[in-house]
Amino acid sequence: MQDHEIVDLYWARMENAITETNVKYGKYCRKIAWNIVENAEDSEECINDTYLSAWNTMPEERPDLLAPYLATIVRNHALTLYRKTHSQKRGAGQTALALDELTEVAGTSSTEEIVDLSLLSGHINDFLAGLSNNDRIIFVRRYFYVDPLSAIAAELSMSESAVKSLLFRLRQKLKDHLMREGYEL
Amino acid sequence: MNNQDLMNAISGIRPEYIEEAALELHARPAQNKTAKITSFRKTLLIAVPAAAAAFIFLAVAVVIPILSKLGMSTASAPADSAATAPAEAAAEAPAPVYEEPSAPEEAPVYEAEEAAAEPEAAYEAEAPSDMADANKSAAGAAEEAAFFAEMPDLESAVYENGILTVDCRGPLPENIKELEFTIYETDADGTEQSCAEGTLDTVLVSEAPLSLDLSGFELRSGTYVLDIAGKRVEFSL
Repeated sequence: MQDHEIVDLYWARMENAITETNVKYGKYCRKIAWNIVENAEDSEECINDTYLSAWNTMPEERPDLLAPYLATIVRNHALTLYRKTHSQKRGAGQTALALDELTEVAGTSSTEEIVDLSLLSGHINDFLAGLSNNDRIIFVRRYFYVDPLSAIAAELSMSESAVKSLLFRLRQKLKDHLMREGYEL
Repeated sequence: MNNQDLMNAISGIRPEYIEEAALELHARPAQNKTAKITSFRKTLLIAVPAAAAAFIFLAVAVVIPILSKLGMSTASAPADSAATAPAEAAAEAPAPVYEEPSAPEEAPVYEAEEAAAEPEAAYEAEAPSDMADANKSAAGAAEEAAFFAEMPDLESAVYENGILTVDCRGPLPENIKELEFTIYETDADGTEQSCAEGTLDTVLVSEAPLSLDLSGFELRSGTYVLDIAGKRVEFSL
C-alpha cells in the first residue's frame, strides 16, 4: 500500500490504518526503537505509543513521507523512555555512546538557558545540507537512528575506524557551525 | 545547550534526510552493491592479468623450446591434427602442443566480447567512467554473469487485472528492484517482439510473491514472455 493510501486511512479514521502501518513500517520502527532502548518490551511500548501518536495526529497532519514521520515519532518516544529508565544511572548501549559522542559538541551541563529546539534543528539541517550524501547518511544513521558503528561500517562497506574518524570530523564541523550561529559551546 | 538538547534537536531534521538514510534500514543500499562490484572488479583486475601473464610464461618457457627442439615451424603445424592424434602421441606431436595455447585463447575473448555487449542500461549507468571500455572484456562479462546469477528461475506467471504474479524457484536477489525486465509479445509464428521494458522498481508491487504492476503498458490479449535478468517465463492475457 502506498503512503498516501495509508494516510487516507488515518484521515478516514479506519482502524486498519494501524495494521497497514505495521505491515509496511513495523520492522523499520522496531529497529529504531530497539537501537535506542535495546529492550524488546520497551521497544514494543514505543511502537504502540508511536501508532497511537500517529492515530491522534494524522487527521490534522498529512505527511508526504510516512517513514520519516513515523521515525521521528518513534525516536522521540524511545528517547523519552530511555531517559526515564536511565534517570538514576548512566545508561549503557548505543544511545549512551551516541550521547557521549555529542558531548564533544555540546557538553553535558544543564544550564538555565532555554534552547529553542526548532531553531537548533534548523541549524543542524543547514549543517547537514552542506555535507556530501555519504557523510550525511553516516551522521543521520549514527545520531538519528542511533545505529552502531559496526552496522554503519558494514552496510557502507567501510571500516569501523573510518566511520569513527569521519564522525569525529563531522562533530567538529557541527560544533564550528553552531558556534558560528552564535551558540556558546 | 547540552548533548541531550542536541539529541532532541536531531529529531527535527528534514524528512528527506531521514528517508535518505532510512534506505539503509529497509532496503538494499546502492553503495553496498557498488562497493561489492568494485571489490569484485578489483579482484578480477588482479586475477585476469596474472592468469594471462602465467599463460604467456608457460607458452614461452614450455611450448617454444619444445617446438625449437623438434625443429618445427609454428606455421607448418597442421590445424586439425590435435583432434585426430592419439592421446599418448600428443606429447610428441608438435601440432597439438602448438594448437593448445591458440585455440582456448580465442574462444574466451570472443565470448567475453559478446557478453560485454549485452549489459543492461542500469548496470552500465552505474559503472564508473574509468572502467568503461578497456575492462569490458573478460572481467566485465564474468562480473555481469556473477551479478545476475542470483536471479532464480521463473516457474510460472499469472496476469490478472494489470498485475502479473510470478512464481519463482528460490529467493529473490536483494537488488531485485535494480534489475531490468523486458516483456516480449509472441506472435502466432513464435516471433518475439519487445513491447515493454524498464527497471523493476518502476513496476514492483511486492516481492513475496513477486508481483508486477503492468497496467501502465496496456497489453493486448495474447501470449507474452517476461524476461528478468535472463530468466524468462511465459504468460497470457
